[in-house]
Amino acid sequence: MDTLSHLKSYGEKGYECTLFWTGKFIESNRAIVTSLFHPQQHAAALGVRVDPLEVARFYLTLHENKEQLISQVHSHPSTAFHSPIDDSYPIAHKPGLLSIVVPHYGFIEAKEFISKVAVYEYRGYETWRRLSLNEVKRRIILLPRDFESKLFDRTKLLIRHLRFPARGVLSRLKERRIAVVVDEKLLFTRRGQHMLSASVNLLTRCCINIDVFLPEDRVTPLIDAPFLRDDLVSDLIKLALRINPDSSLRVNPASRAKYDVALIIGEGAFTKADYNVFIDALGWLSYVGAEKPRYFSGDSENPIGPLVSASRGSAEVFKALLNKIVGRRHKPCSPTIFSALNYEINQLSWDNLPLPKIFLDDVLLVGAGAIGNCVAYCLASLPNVSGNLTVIDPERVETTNLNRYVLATMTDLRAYKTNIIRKRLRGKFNVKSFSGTYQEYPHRRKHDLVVVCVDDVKTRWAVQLDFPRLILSGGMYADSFTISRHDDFLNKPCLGCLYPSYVEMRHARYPAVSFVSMFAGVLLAGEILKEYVSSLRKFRLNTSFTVSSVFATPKVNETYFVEGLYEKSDNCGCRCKSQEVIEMYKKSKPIRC
Amino acid sequence: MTEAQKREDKWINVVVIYGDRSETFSFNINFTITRVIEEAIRRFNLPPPPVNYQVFYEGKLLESHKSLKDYGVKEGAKLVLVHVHVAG
Repeated sequence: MDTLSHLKSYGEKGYECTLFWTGKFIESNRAIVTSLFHPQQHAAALGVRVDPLEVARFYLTLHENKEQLISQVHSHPSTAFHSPIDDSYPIAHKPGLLSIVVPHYGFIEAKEFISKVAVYEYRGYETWRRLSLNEVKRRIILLPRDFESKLFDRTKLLIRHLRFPARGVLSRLKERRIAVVVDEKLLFTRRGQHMLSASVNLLTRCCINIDVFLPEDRVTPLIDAPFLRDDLVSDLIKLALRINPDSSLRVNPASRAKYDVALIIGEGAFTKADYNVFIDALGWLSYVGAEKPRYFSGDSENPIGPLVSASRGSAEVFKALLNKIVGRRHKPCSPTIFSALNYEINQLSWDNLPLPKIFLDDVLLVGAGAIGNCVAYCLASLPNVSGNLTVIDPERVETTNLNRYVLATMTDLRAYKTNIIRKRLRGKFNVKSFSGTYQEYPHRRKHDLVVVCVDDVKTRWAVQLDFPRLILSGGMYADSFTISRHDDFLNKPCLGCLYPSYVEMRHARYPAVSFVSMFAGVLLAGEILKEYVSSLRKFRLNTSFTVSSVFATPKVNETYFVEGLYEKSDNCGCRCKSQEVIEMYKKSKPIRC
Repeated sequence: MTEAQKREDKWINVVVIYGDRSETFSFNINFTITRVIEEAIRRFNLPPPPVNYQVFYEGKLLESHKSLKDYGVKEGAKLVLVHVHVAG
């Protein structure tokens, strides 16, 4: 922790030291500390003074970097408390400013920083209030030193996987400018708002310079979607900051700068970008292409098509940026309509009927990772859908997860992954969580429908060998993913047939990015819906659906493979053809619902 | 026009920075720095006394009895208002 290092370096000489924390507010009283300012100072054993010129230099730095003053931090020789001098001469008289006093000249352990320091909040007119430990923990989020490299870690691996030189490309990717433009007609529709909020969520996780162009500066959300409350515009700005404090998302900026790529939602005209990606959606259908969409009109409360188009569109934007940086290597996607209902391509099969009220009586989600987050995101966005959901995952959110966990922000770091889903679905679903492995879960055999989104093959086998009535499974690697459906253990391929050999993935660093998991997760959520709505059952996946690359133009049996699993495998990881396992299945039948 | 009126007519807009806040003020170029400080601490709602504050322009400390004109402060200039910072 840099703060303690500075304090200790003065402490070694027997001097106090003062420092300033700057950063950004993500809520009125919640801030992310992004940088530390170490002023030149006149230090002594019992006090420290900063020259006014140095204070002026600090203020100008804040002004130029558009950062906010979060806290002053200074050390004391022994006890941590606010002296009368501290009360009267803060770095700035700013209501809400924090003043942190560190005891023992900073010679404390980094892990006990929050518990050992005294934190005061400036209330105005030289009055201060000491904060409780819980308030301190809630209000200050310390940005890890390696935050940015970890945030982009998996994206970097994906760039390498695509055979681009990751090191130079990644830094140039961060400098590229993206415009997200929403057609006036679509901004006030539910499908338009779903596409906008999901696109911003996905793109912020892999790019930094995003500007959003809207016909209005304030937009009341018409949809249920994670992170949206009162005003779509300010909620999106806050979301971007909470995902990446370096994000510079602006809405309707005045500058006339040129953009590298524009993601245009609907038919809007935008002439300031070198390359335009158009997306549109209605019901279960999604459109992506370099030409204006002309197929959809009206509105739909179904978020599935819009979320698929946001993920496919974000993939196109990402590809276009990489092409621009390195020189054109990957072909742009031809204009395509994809149906998440029947997995058809360029078939305008309409099914835009309102979704009935659905109660998911018993769904078990095993794995609250990238795809699990997206399944939950889609469930949270579905109107008229509620129910009981149990989520299992033993892990906590890490910085490297943020590039693809669409329900997580940096305020969720170190929280259990299950708790993130529970928090985002609160009020809509009765969510039970178990923060352990599936193998440790005591009620494994009591669930009828299990959605498996883990990156661990042994867990997939364990789920399969508990023989629930229906398993929906999703898995991703780099730019590809597979979802599958398993409802007939004796006659159709099981999860072990799909994952025949054990590969340790749980702690492996593998390439991954948000728009791949979103695509897979939304299709899985769609499969859950099809299970519960009788009129949709005929569209259920029979076995599996694979996308070999989200960057490729959708083509049946070339890049998009429907029903790719044909028969049970001799090399099944669950040995599903063996008499022993078949007997186990038969014995387990009465336990199942 | 009298000499006094001519003096009063020369108004400029300047940005005053304090902490992470900034405000645009309209000052007569004949205002003393003391007057500038008084105006600024009123607008920023800062505790008195004004003597605890200083103003910097282009890295230079402005003396309180002199005027903006004396320092050649122009339209759109950025002044930095600073409070003494001591910790102990």
